[in-house]
Amino acid sequence: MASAVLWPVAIRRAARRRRGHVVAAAAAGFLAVTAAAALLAPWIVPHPPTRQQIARRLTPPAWAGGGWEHLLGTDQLGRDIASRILYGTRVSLGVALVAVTLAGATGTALGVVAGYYGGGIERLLTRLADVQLAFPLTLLVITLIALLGPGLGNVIAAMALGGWATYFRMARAQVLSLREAEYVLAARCLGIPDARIAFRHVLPNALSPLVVLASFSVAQVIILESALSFLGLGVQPPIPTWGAMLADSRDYLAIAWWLAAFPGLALMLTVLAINLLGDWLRDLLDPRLVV
Amino acid sequence: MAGYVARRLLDAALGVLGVTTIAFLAIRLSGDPVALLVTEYATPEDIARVRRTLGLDQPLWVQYARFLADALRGNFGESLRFIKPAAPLVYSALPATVQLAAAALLVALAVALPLGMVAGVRRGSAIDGAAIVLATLGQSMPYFWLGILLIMVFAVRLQWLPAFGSESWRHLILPALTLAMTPMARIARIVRSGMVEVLTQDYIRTAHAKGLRASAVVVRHALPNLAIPLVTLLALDFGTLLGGAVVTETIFAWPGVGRLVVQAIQSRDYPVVQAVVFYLATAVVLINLTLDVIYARLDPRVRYG
Repeated sequence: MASAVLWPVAIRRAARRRRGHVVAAAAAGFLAVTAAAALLAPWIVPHPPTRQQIARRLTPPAWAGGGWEHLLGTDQLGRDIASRILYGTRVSLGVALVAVTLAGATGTALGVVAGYYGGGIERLLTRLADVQLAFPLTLLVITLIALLGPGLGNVIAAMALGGWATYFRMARAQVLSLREAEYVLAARCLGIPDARIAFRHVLPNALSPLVVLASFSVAQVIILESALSFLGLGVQPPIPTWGAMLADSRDYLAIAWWLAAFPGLALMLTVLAINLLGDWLRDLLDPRLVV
Repeated sequence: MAGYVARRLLDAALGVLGVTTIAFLAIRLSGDPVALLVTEYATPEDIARVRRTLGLDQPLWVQYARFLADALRGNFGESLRFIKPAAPLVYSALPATVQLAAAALLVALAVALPLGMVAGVRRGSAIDGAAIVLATLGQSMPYFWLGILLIMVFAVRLQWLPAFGSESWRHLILPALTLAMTPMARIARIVRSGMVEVLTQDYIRTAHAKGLRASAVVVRHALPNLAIPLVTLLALDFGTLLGGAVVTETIFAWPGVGRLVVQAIQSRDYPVVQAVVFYLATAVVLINLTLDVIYARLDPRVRYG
């Protein structure tokens, strides 16, 4: 990897921002715990997330008068909020990771092919991406959902379809600027097949901005998925999602603040942690940036 | 320039055509629209009649040609829910959305411009630190959660402001604040980093050296340079703002296009969905184009081939 030559510079610059590293480490730690909780949810939740106990409905959190039985209280149907938040993590992280991976892999692969080979395919794809990028992701995804219908699979499909173009454009631009590099010429002289040059020699050097882009879009997709679930257009009940929990909370704002507070807090902390990691990655990988 | 605008207009038309085509196809692929229109007691003859009336017995390309011809004349058929033409429903909801988006943008600029400027000029100060924290939190906070919290505090607890509807300007405050948060954070960030960068330029040192007051240096020499990144950001954010409006309008029962489309999706009112998609796509594309032209005006270095 030729960019390895650049790493020491990047790292030295970043080392001057020790505070940045501490913040990033905290964010990474938080995300690791969150991801572990999402994976282990079925074994660690105190209550099944969909079990209704009407007799215990709207129990406040433990420190606000409820019992330790329900740490963060219960909702309007007596379901345990902490358990539902833990299960909601699975949807939020799962949808975001799958959708971003699909969009990123497709967009990057097409971008590398278009940038390296050029020609009619490049013109067609570039046109398509430009046209699609004229439409904001949120509107595009809501439109696709309107047409495909709600549900877990459709939400992922809509976000992947809506997201590929950004990666395509960036990957293509990167490859275009690397295509004439001397090591590519050297590889070509050695008789290495084009596909191998494109994906083994060019792509790794084009990867860092794509990684930064992907990290920010995970955060964006998490918010978007919650917004869709909030509108009732996303993942459908009975699967617990943070967005749907927030939507439910609106009818009980006067009597049960905890319904709105905790799912929102979970959402915000997760997105914040991802954004902080993204900031850190960008500073690390882009030494030109002055902050 | 004229060639550039012409090419962009062509792209825009292609984009709108593409989106409406997807809308047309997907509705026909995702099931029989007639099934949504008739009751469960409909006889096969009833269904055939409805199908004929709507032209659904024609070949797909004939339907498509008709659909496009109608769309160009602003005719998207009747709303299945309101039994009224779909397009006027969208027109009448449009001013509310524009009002909300404009108010949000004004709030965002009014807070973020001075905040970002002061933070950039006083880099490393307490104000700068506060601005960075605010911007980071603002970018990570889901705006619909902020909306709920605002309702909880200002409408339910304190009862200072109304939470739902659009009867007076006071109804605009909470939704506008909700929608303003994300662009506010982004604008503050870009203004701050733009300011930091501009202030290192040689001509800024020259301006200081010739004895200009610090405020004049910032306002007259540094600030105009922020116009370009700012317009770029606004162009990118405008669509995000519209997307946010969809959710915000639903939270606050604000009678705009966003609430209309969410309700239409929920009740499978496809003519309205198609009409909204068409008009929003057109609006986004036209506004992007306008901002690109402004961009070329602002920055003489920008050349469009």
